Amino acid sequence: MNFIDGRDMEQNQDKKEKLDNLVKLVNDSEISSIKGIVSNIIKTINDPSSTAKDLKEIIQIDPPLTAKILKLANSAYYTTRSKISEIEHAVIWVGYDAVKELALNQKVCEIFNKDESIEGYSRYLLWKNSIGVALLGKMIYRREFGEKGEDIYAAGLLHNIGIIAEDQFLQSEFKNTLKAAKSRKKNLNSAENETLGFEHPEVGLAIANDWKFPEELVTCIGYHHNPVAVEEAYLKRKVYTLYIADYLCQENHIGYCDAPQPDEELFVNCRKALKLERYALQLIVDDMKKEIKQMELQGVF
Amino acid sequence: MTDADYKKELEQKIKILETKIKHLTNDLVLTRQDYEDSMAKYFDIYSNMEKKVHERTEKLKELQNVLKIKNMQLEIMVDSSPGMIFYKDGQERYVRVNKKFAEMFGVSMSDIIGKTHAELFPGLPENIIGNDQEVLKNKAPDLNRGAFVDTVKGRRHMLINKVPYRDIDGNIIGIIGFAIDMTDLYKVEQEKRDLEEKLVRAEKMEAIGLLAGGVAHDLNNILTGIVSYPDLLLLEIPEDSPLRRPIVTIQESGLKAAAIVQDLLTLARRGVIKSEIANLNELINDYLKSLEYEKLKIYHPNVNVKTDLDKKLLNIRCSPIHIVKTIMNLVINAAEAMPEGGTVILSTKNCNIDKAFKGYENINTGDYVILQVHDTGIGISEDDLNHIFEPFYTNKVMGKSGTGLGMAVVWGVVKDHKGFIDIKSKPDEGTIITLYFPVTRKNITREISGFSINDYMGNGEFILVVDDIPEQRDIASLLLKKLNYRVKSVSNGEDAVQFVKNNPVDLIILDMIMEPGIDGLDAFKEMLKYNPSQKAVITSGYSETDRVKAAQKLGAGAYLKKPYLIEDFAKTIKHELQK
Repeated sequence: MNFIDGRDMEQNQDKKEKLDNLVKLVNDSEISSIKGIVSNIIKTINDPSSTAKDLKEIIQIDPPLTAKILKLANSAYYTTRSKISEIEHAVIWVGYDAVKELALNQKVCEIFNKDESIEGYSRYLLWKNSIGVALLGKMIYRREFGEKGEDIYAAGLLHNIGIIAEDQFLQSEFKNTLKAAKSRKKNLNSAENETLGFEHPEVGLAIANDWKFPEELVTCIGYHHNPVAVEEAYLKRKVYTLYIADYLCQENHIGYCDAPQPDEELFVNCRKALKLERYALQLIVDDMKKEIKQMELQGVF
Repeated sequence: MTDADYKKELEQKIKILETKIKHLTNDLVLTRQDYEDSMAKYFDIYSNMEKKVHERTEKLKELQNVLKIKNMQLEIMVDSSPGMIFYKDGQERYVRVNKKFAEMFGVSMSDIIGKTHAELFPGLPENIIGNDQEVLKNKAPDLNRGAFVDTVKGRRHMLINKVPYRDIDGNIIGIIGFAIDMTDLYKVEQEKRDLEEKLVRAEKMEAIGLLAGGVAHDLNNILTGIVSYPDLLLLEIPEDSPLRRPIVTIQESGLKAAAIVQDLLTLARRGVIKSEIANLNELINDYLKSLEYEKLKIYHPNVNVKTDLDKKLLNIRCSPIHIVKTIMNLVINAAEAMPEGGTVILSTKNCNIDKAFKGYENINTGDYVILQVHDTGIGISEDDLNHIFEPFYTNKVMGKSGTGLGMAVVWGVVKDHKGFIDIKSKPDEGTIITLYFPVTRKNITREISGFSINDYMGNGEFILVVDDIPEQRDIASLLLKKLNYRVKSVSNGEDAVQFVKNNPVDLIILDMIMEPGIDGLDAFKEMLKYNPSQKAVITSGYSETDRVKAAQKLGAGAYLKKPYLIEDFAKTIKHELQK
């Protein structure tokens, strides 16, 4: 993959060092604790022969996660008949895919904690945006393409992991970035380029690569603001869908908005490339909003 | 709006609907797939669980088997114990009892479990088996406690041990109790003591008998001189001789000595008495005509003797001389107990003892003629009561009247007639002495002679006699056969019900009190189930009880009092059959 061609080599070298440092910081921090479990869950998503037992084994090594999943599985949202006390039972009652989703949500959610609100940004809003994008992405896959879309869900949850890294390890620069973006009504990307010298998709790409996430996920994270740069045909649909989902969430104010100046042309291009009609997407967005509302009501997040 | 616009709008709506359909179809297909995946996974999980469950079940089964065997061994031990064993929880509810326990209380094990003693036997008084408060409170064993406990075998004397029952942490969660029925043992011990006492008494009597037998004959000869020569001397000396008084005294002393010899001889001759059939009423009248009675009236002018004699009194087989002597001794004692004067009542009646009871001594079941001597005198103290039948034991001034052998003679005579004695006495209120003489049926023809038996003869009707006492069955059967009935007899209510179930019976003569098993009333109730118009005559030695009346309410006819008098017996049965 050749992301940074046509730029100054020196500048590139400088940026690479900065990104490497940031990845190192991330790896030394609590954020990396999600690495193992998230990669394992993504692995089961990509492995059709995986079983409920595999999923159980992934989840049960993390007692707080087990507890949270059981709590959610027992919540009114899933209206259980009897008390669920084992992951295996949760798999049977809530569903295999749903448990995967829950586990992923919970694990990724951990890195969005310790909330503070600056310049229209907060980790909670960012988390809400991630959930929205993940959900919408999955729904587009299911309804339009007739596919499960579990990996697009994971991609939606993790697409802004770069922002989290910046927020936690480059705090003052990140605050400046947010201020700049707000005052000059810019998208986060361009502000990042000015203050940090790199954009959060690049940070996400570096982390995802380092954590050895599957190629589609790495590409989705890295190109979620520039999907057309992806050349591999089999990856295009995922990256485009993620962009469309992100664009629509921003448009509908689901969580934090990192691009207040939307690139409508890019959106229309992606949409047309995937043969998605605007009204069809609107139908899905309407249902997604209902779902988010319900999740909020039930305290799922 | 133009047609084109309208068409466009419609097309747009159709598109949206089509999209919706597409979305829903896709979602449905995926949801079905999810469901199928989940099902597959569910069966995967389920089969794993099955395997685990199976493995654990096998292990549990093995353990259960071991436990079962151990439990069985324990059960056998507990249930084969001759003593009663019971476990109770902290609320005094039975958790487990052994077979003996259930037997003794006549309740099935399943009815006992979970109940307290008071719940099981609400009517009975509280006993140590039922109350564990002391053990639970003291948290210590309660050992070797003797107590009377009501069981199906009646009131039993038990030795009870109770220990607290603790869980593995040492908390008391109940009690374990053991009770042993000591009644029979104590009874045997008591019998042994009684026998020993009797033996001592018998030896004493035998010694006296031997002594008397040995000396009485010689003494009588010697006394002849002392008694008869004073008569000759008194003829020889003048009327005003100062020697007259001493000579009369010599003669009276001689007579007294002769009386003692007579009593001694009576005692000595026991066992060789000649018996004949007699009626006690006649013997009483004989006494009242005797010289001895005339003498008594002279000594005790203020004492009045009255009689209350049963005209239908049955006969007894006896030695009339001894019986008269006994009556005489009792009347003398009664008169002497009333120095201020009063009335002695002599009464007789027929009596049936259906259930042995303890009076002065143990009185067995049977038909008796009883003689009662009732005075309103000074009474006998409890201490004296235990000794009054011993020779030469007296609380009267010795030598004043009797020989010191009077009551010993009474005892000996009654015993020789296989009878019993009961005494009820209260100091300063009086004494009732009751003698029980067994009725004889040897001479029934004499009994029958009084009325026209031919009017009451049966026509070969079939009669069932139900009585727990063999002699009663025999007498009833004998009388019935004489009256030309066919007879079958059984010894308990259960057999009677069984018999009536399979055989038509014209009349049942049903004893009210029977042991063990169901009584007359319950037996009659059962019989009515098979033959609602069954005829029956209820009999009992007691007067009519509530249960007799209850049976009569159910259709049982006349009530026939024991002992059976042939006239009443024949009339009642005839009357009942003709109803």
